[in-house]
Amino acid sequence: MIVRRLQARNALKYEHLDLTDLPERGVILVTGPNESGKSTIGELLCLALYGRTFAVPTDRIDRVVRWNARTMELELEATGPQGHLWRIRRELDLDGEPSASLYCPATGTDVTGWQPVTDAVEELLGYGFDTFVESFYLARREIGPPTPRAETLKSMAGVLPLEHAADEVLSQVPELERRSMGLATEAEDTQRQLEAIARDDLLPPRPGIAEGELADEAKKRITELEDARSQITTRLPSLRGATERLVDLLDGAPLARWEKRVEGLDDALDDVESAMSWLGYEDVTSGTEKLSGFLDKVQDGVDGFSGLLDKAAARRKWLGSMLGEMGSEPTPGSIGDDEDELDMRRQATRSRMRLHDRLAVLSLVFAAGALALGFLPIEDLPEQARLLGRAVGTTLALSAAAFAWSRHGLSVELRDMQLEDAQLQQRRALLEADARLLEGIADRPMPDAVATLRGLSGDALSQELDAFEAGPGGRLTRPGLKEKLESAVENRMGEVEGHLAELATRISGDIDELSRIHELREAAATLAVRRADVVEHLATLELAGELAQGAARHMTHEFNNDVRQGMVRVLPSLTEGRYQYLQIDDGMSVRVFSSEKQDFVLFEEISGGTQRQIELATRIALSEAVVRGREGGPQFLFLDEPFAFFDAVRTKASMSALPRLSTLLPQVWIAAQRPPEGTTPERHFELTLKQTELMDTPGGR
Amino acid sequence: MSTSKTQSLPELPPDTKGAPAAFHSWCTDELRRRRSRDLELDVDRYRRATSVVLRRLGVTFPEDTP
Repeated sequence: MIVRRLQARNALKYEHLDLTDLPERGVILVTGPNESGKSTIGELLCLALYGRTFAVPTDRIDRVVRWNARTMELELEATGPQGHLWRIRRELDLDGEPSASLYCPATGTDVTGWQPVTDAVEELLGYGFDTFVESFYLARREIGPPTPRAETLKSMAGVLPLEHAADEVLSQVPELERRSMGLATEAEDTQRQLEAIARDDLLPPRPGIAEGELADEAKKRITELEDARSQITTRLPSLRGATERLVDLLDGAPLARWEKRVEGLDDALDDVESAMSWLGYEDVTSGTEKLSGFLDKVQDGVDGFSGLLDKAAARRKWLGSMLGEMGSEPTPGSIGDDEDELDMRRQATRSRMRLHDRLAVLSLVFAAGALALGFLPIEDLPEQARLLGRAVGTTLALSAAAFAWSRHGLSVELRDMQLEDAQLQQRRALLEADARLLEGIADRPMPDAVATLRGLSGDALSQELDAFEAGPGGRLTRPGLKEKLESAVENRMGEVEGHLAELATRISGDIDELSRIHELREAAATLAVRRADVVEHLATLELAGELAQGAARHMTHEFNNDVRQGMVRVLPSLTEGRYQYLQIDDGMSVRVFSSEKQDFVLFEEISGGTQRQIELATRIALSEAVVRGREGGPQFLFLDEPFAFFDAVRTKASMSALPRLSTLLPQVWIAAQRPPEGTTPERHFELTLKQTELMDTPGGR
Repeated sequence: MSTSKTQSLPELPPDTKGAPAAFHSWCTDELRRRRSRDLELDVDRYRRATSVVLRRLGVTFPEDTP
């Protein structure tokens, strides 16, 4: 920042100050005796920029108001970054609040408030008050030996914020390490508790499974057990109902109901057994075995009954065929066929009888004629004809007799056929009776159906019936069966219920233990996650600290390089080429390269005046490096009594060299008791001891 | 060659200057150096570590604003 104008009213020593049209380049010399107000100008520049001065403590800033006034006004116009003009105004009223404003017409920046303006200036220049007074506002106190003052140099290099950040970040590391170890201890303790209550039967070990999955596994197992228990509880009444409904059938019921209720009980048993299987208890049976055994026997009986009814149905079908019922398949040897055949034979016999009757009559007629011819006295009838008539007549008479005999035989056949027909009708009646018995047999209760089948003619199905009654089916048809089995089945059902009640108790116990395991596994998972977070956070913070320190080292290195390069240019200029550059070794010994000796000489071996020149060169090189490392643009330099130990020659040489040392430090303010001889500053303000007003006119000297 | 967002550092708010800008710049170069040495470098952790320091330096990221 380059000062263009400085105005003040009732500020420190000055009642009125107005320095206008200040040169952007060159030396601005302020001379006068002690306490004439030379340093005050530097203090006012400081106050304008940072709202504070070097000499006045921040908590007594009211002291900047002139002793006999109540209000201080201060205005600074300066060229800042990108050559923009900035105007900073501060007012301090002892009866009111301090006020300030910062305005840049080019950028439109407009900030108000004492501290906000200070913050804006810091951001604009890239450094704060401390760096400013160490770099650009150098009184004799700061132009000390170039022994590195760590904090100061770090501040000037801009690395302090990074080092502070690194320190803050790394300061959290020990606490995080303690937390990590604490979490590890907690995790071990949780693991020990888990091992103590491990249940391999419920949760088989699964090495390598993540903590979170283990917790889920326990929770899943709990859900399985709860579901199984709920299902068993829900399905038990269904089992009881199905059992009772089956027992009700023991009074007798048709096949369809048996089958339906057997299937119902089978399903109910399956439901309970499948719910049992969900438990995953390898050492536990379902408790329904006896009930299942009962059901198996009933099932066998029902199957037998079903087979018997199948046979009956086949018999009924056969009967239909035998009887020639509509829709039935024709079968050889059926009653109908026999009847048809008999009818045909009867028709044929009757036809033959009629033929024989006619032939007999016809033979008789012709026989009578022939015999009449042979035996009647007919004239002129030759004897041979008479003999022929007799012979033919006899033959025909014999034929008629033969036909008559044959007809008799046919008549006998016809009588046999009538007998045969009667037998067929009797057989038909029996089959029809069987068919009626078998009608609706499947819809009859089991004992009725069996008794009905016993009534079939000709001991039909008797072997099947004997086998059925001797087998499982026989038990289901015994009288009084229901009374006999009712209590037994109830006992079986009671056993099942008792077994499942015991099981429910075991499930509850297991669920409690699993819940504890689940809690511990969940705690272990949470601890693992928390520890992983802490470890990750720790690693992140350690890396953050490492990066901040690395960046700080880099910036320090860069700054040192800048300073070294600056020194190579500044030192010869200020020492008229007698010394080239400066070196600080690891032991902090400062050595300077002498052009005359072409070697390094120790700093202590150099004369006092030269030492001050080197000190000043070092300071300027540092200041230049600060400006180069920031984005605030060229900066004015305020040097308070920089030539105190210089002889006239060195002073003159330094005065002429200073404005040309660095393009980054073009405007150099120098406060001195008297003007150096033989020098021509760009602007010169001469002060007197009691002077309270300093009004400078443009172009004035 | 473009760098994916997960392999670069969090972007600084516009007009960030001073130590945060210098730190961000150095970290960007350092990330490139480390990635050339260590192909399995945990870039996410590096990004987080960088953000930690930048926040300590007063940088506010969009996600920090409620």
